[in-house]
Formats: sequence, structure tokens, C-alpha cells
Amino acid sequence: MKKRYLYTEKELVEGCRRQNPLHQKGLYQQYYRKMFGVCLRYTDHKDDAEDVLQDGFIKVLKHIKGFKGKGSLEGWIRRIMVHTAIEHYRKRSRYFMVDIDHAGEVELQADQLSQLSKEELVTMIQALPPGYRTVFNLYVVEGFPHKEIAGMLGISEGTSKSQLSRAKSLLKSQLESIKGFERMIV
Amino acid sequence: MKGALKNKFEDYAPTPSKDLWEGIAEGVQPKKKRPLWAVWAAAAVIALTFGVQVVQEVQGSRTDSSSISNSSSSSSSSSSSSSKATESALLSVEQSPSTPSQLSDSESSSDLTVQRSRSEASLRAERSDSESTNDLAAKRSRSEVSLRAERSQQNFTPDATDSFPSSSNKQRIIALSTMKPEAAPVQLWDTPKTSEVKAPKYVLVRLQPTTVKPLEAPAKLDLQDLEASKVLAFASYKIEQLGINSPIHFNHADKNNGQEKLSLFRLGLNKFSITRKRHKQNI
Repeated sequence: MKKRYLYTEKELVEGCRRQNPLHQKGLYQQYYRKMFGVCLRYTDHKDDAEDVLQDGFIKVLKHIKGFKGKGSLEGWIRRIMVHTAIEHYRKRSRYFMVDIDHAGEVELQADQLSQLSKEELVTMIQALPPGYRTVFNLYVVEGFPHKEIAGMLGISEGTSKSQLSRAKSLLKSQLESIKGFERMIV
Repeated sequence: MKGALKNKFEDYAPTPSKDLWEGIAEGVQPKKKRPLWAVWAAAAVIALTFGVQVVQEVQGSRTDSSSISNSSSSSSSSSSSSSKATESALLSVEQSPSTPSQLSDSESSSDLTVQRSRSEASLRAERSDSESTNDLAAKRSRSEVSLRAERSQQNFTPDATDSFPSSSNKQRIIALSTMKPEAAPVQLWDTPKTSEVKAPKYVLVRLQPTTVKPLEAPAKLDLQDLEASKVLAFASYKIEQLGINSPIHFNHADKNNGQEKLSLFRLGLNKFSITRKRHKQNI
């Protein structure tokens, strides 16, 4: 049976600052699955998500000295993953974000989504266009305000709101088509 | 909705591929620093190579000019240095007697004669239509001559003490400067042709919003009220979530047949088997 050595957050950070390979791998093993979940929400394919995860962890390990200890390490790593995912799509797509007119508010109830499993939710989010998906993730899941999202993505606040409205309307139509047949799933 | 979804994904932890860590470890390894002496050594080698080439070119042009002057001049007064012999020989052939040539041992006059000898070499090369041993020197001299010709056309005023070429040579220079582009001096480096420009490796494509395409309905499916494509689209979606071998059951209310239970089993990529069971009670 293999021995597993669990490091504390402090030990991991100190070890990674000294570029200790064991601590670096330990950090990866502690957070890679959760961060992969984050990357899956921001990409539309598992391969892209793995690319983002790899680039993100390289950035984390290279810039570990930038972690000052304020807040949790997981939150810091998560922010790096989100920025890496956004950068990943910016490089690939010229039409990642386009300023569009305000599309109005769309209501999407929490209970409509809560009935779905996590995998179903992720599949639905992955089916959204990249711009809508990113804003939806940043606003609804990560909890950033529109002003901050606009700054991160280089768009206006109005565009951020419109992207979110359109994402919600797309998700709503997806839900309705599923619900129409889901009369009763045994 | 914000908080609900955030909580939902709190413990969402899927497993990626196993070989990801190797790529990360490679990217994190510190780059091996090259020792400083290696950089200096490389720079020295490059400078030496360049210097040797320049020296060879200069020597080649000098040997050409000396050979030309020896062949052209019938009588040349012997002088202590070979450069002086070259100068006097050239002067006797090219310059008119009235043009004073105040040759001194200064560097400027020797330079001018060397340049003149170069121009003479280039003219002879043109006449003979054969490539000289020092093509590069000849080409350089042509470019220098054309530049000088341009300047001479603009601002040149002949000075009595100036030991510039004589009128006949001036005409040759002007002729050179008005040459057609095909015969113009060749640049030391060639500009790339448009056909050599490689096409970009990546082409930007506008992303279209993704849509889920429904599967085609099998021929045996007979659902009068439901749209078969929509049923199968939803079924395939659910099968992807639950697994390929899991069956899906539907309760379907039909006006004619009453309530019935449909079970969908996936046999292959586009193959399904459907069973029906009718309930006793109608809606």
C-alpha cells in the first residue's frame, strides 16, 4: 500500500516556493480535480479543459510567490484557472466577445436548474457559445459583479448583462425542451 | 440562483487524464542558463567570420585593380609602393593632361584611386560580359557608382583640384545611373518573392453557436403523436448522461391508445429498441 503524505496549505506553499518537486506534485494532486471542474465549465470540450488546466497549473507553480496568504489557496488557484480559460479562448477566437445591445432580462429560476445533476448542468453550460458561457460562469457561479466582469473581459457592463441574458434564455429553452419529454423519468 | 449554482458546483470534481502532470512538470522546470563565456565566444566567432570575409573582399578588389592597371598602362613609372604605381598608371590613362592631379600621400587620394580602380574594374566586367572572380566587389562598386552618379547629378560641381573622374567617365557614370531596373545594381540581399511567402498556419474561423443535432429516427419507430426526432434527441442526451447501456423509460399519453410506457434501449450508435406497454386506465 502506497503511503500518502498530506501537506498543509502552508507547507505546500513554502515547498513550492523552494521549487520542491514533491510539494509541487502535492499541490497539483490536492486541487487538480476541483480545478478541472472549473475548467470544464469554461470550455466546450474535455481536451480544451485539460489544456487550460495544464497551463493554469504551470502559472500557479511559477507564480506561487505571488500568493500573499490573504484568502484561501484554493480561491487563488481558481482565479488563475478562470483567467487562463478566458485567455485560452481569446487567443483561439477572434469573435470571442462582441458588443451587443442590451437583450433584456430573462428569468431563470433556481429550482429549474437544481433538478438537473452536475454533469447535466455542465453539459448544458458547455453547449453555450463561449462568450455567453464565460459571463454566465463568472456571474452566476463565481459571483463576480458585472462591472468586474466587464473589466476582466474588456467589454462594457451593458454587454456583460446582455451576454448573461442570452445565456439564460438559451439555457431556459434547453431546459424546456428537456422538460417536455421528461414527463416522467423512471 | 447565484448561490444555488455556486453550491452545486462546490464538490464537483471530475477526473482528467493521468498524464497531465508530466506536461506541467516540464513546463515548471527552470530553464538551464547558458554560461556567459559561451555567449561571448559565439559573438567572437561571428565577428571573426565577418571580418575575414570583409578582408577577403577588399583584397580581391585590390588585386583586380592592380591587374587592370598593369594591362592598360604600357609604361608605368616604377615607384616604391605598388599603390603609387597604380595611381600614376591610372592617372596617365584616365586623366586629361590639363587636369591637375595633386596627388599626395594622404588617405583621401589613395581612397579615391582605389574607388576609381573599382569603378574601372566594374566597367571592364560589363564590357566583357564575363563574371569576374570578385563578383561581390564588382556589384558593390556598381552600387557605389550609381549612388555617386545620383549625387553628381544633383550637387556636383567639378573642382579644378578635384581628382574625380574625367568627362568621359562622367558620361559612363550617368549612363550607368540611367540603366534599366533589370540591369541595375543587384542588392546584396534578395527581397523575397511573393510566391515564397508562406500562407499563415492558422486560419481564423468565426464560431457558430453549437446546436445539438438530433439523431435520425430508425425506420421501425412508430410514434404518431410525438415527434420522433425530438424523442431521440432527448433520449441520446439522457443516455450520454446515464451511460450507454441504461434504458430510458417514458410515460406517454396517447389519445387513441391511452397511457403507455415506452422503454428505449440503446443497441448501438443509431440503433434503439423500443418496447410498449399499455396501461389499463385511460387518461
